[in-house]
Amino acid sequence: MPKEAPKTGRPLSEAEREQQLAARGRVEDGKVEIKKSGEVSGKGLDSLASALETKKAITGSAIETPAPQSDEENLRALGQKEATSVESAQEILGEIDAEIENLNSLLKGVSDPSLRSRKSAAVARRNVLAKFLEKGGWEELSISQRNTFNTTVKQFSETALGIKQALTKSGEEIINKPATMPEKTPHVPKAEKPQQKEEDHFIINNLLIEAARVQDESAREEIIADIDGLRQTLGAMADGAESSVFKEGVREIVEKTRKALEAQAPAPESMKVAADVSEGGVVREKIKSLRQTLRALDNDFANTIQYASGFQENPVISDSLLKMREVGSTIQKLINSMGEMKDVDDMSVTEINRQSALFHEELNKVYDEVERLSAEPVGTAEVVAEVAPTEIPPNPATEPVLRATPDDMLFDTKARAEKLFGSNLNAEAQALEDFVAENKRRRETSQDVQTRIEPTLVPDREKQNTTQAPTEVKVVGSQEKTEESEAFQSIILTPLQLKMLGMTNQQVNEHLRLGKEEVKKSNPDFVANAEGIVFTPSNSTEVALRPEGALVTTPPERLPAVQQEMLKSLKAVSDTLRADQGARIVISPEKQKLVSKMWEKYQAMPWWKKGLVGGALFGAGMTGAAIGGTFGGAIALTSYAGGRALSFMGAMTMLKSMSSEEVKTSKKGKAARILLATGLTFGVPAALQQLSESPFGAWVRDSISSWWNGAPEAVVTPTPERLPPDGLAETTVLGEPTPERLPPDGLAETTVLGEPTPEPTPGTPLENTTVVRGDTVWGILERQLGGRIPNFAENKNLILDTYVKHLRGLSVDTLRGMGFEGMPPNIDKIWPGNVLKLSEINQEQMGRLVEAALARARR
Amino acid sequence: MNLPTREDIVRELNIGSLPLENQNEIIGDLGHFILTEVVLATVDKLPADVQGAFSAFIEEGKGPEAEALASEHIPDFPTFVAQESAKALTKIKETYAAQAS
Repeated sequence: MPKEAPKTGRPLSEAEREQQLAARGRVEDGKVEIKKSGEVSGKGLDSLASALETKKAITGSAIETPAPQSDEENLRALGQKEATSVESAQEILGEIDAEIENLNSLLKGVSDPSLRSRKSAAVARRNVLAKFLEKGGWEELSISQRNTFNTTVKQFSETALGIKQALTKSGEEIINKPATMPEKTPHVPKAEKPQQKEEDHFIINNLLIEAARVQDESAREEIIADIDGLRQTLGAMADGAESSVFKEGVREIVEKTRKALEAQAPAPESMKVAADVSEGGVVREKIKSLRQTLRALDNDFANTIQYASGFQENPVISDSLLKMREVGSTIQKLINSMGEMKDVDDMSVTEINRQSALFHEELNKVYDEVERLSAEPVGTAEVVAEVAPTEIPPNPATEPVLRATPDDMLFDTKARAEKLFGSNLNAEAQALEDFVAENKRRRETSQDVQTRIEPTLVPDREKQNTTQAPTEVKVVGSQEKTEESEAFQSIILTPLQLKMLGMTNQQVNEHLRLGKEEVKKSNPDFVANAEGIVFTPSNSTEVALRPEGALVTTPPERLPAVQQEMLKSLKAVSDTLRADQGARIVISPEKQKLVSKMWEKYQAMPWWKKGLVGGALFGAGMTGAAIGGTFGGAIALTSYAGGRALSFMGAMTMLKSMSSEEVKTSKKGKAARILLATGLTFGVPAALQQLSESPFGAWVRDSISSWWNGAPEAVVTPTPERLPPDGLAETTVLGEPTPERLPPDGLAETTVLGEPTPEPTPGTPLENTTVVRGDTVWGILERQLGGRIPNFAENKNLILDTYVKHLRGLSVDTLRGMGFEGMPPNIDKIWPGNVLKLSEINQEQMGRLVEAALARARR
Repeated sequence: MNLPTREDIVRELNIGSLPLENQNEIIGDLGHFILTEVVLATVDKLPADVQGAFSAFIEEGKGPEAEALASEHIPDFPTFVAQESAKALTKIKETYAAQAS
């Protein structure tokens, strides 16, 4: 609730007070209801005085009139204020409370729904601010929250300013309450005569403002001419002269203006600005004004969502929010429809204002309901449910009522899109909505929907290790709800998907930023892990870009329809071709055996061998200037979807241009180039990897290595005895491998495990480490790697740099899982007591990376 | 001049809209098909009396021996591999185009 308004206005002098008392008496005589000046805040006195000035045009009273701009200046000054501490925030809030009191006073008896609606918006903004401060001190607010706070202050200022300007312009009482005019001109003390003339000029200005609202050009010109005449009359009057002529003139002009305004379609408040602007009949200015109205609604909507965070399951709130959104949609459509018109359709404008009022009605409902719920005693506070992070298909029959239904997620998604697009119902947002709706449909129709519990949405890594994931369940009052694993059911939109849905890069980035901030403020314990944006039911958004090399495969059903089709189609191609292969070799048991063996080995490959190692190869070595020649042109000619052939020879040409003369002329080099060209042309670096990993491809393994490293002589080619049958010994072992140290099949991590080793080898996992004072990641790695990599000392910096770069490139989730802290986890900031799970570093992968780095260095 | 990266290639293949892991999955699957095609073509090209030995080398993971054997019996073996790879690629494209139509 608003606080009591501080009395910030200047004290009244005795003479002023007497004047006011006299004026009050006259007003009461005239049966005009005016809040007693003593009841409004001193700060709001200026505004009230402005309103009284309007009355004075009728009553002829001689109240001291502060400059009307002063109050606006105060409001503008308020809008410029930025809280930097809890004290300053509270001070601002106090001023806002005073302004609200002021608005309440000014709007008392004013029937214009638009103005009242705008006041509600101002109150809503005030409530948002108060909510921030309820949460704790300024220091506990995130940067985003602080920015929101200060932005909301500005918005409040603008709203309040708009209301006051509208009040001043409309001269509500002049037009609507002529019947309350006193029969007699009140007595004005002679001593006040010099001031009277000034006040009369002010009245003329008000008359001009009102006249500007008249849309009928001829009527407007006529009124303005009358006002001009009145002005001349006023100028001709001697100081202290009786102003009965002037007052009569005012009365006539007021009446004429009122009739002219009544004759035209009622111009709702939000149109007044547009009407003022569009005196020249510029439609676009009117539409621009309406769009500003819509943007204001958008801001209100976003603030309301924030305010109602945690209560969206409440039927009243969710219903109101949805209605608000519908209002936004309607207004957007109305505005869009105006784009084709020659002039703004008054009916549409009227409808927009009606919708706007409806919007704020719903907004008030939300705020009231949130306040009511907040006031209720909390049932059992928070319950933390533990669920397994594995994918658990929900049982539709027993599926609990979710705190976040797909509709909620839809809403959340929509709201977020609205923030981005600056309008709450544009095509992009609609696309997002469609996507979520599709998700919902699939969920409802599929009995086999996978409930993906993000294992990395776990505050405590230990819990994850024990396959536990917490689910926050808030129990409010008697509305107890039991939520289980589905609480973390989430929709993941990758940045790419967002782009596909129409977002620009800037919008996606902004989305990511907002999401990250929301994660921080909603639950700092949660870790951003997934690619893209995860819309969680609890309104929090988990965002992080997953670097290449992520382990998780997005379930097809989570992909947008077009992607699902693509995936399905490509998989079908693979299946068809494999079936074709099978049919061709069915008559040959030998070939069947051969293919079967190859397939077995392929199937046994870890995920990264199937797809990512080739990628890493490109990522590490073939980016930038390393690739040149004609390849770019060759690849540009390719089109998978278009069915045109890739230019294999183009790729070959490029490779030849890249490789050294020695490699060009060597058989192995040629083979390597061919195979690499296959991969390049094919767009399948993995193919290269598989070729080199497979039995058949083993023969080119060292060729590739030689070619790739550009220094065949520098690469040790193991003898068949030393060569692992299926591994990559020469790429995983740094430096000169020894038979004793070489893992049995070259894949240390898969073959050394379980076998006691007398000393660490390059391929064995690093040891988990508890950080002690003075430790750095570099130092820890140096300690561990020093004992296991031959010739470490000579290449220490390069090796360690490779490791550190690798760590920096890991996903937020992975780093968090390894024990790095911070948001995002920062490998440069480790604290004593941190347990760094260095064993999770893929040593085999690191071996290749280091090898590549060494090779580059040798070149 | 374009400097294609993996991303460029994926884009040209028009699978860039898929999540990375799904791209890799597809790439891996089709890569296996190419590999198998090349191996089978090599076996077919070899004289009957050495096919068994070649297959045995492959099954045992004796790459250099397999290479030496193939090179001995197939003229310009690297070019042969390239051609077979291209054929496999064409098959993929034709199959995909047929599906699309």
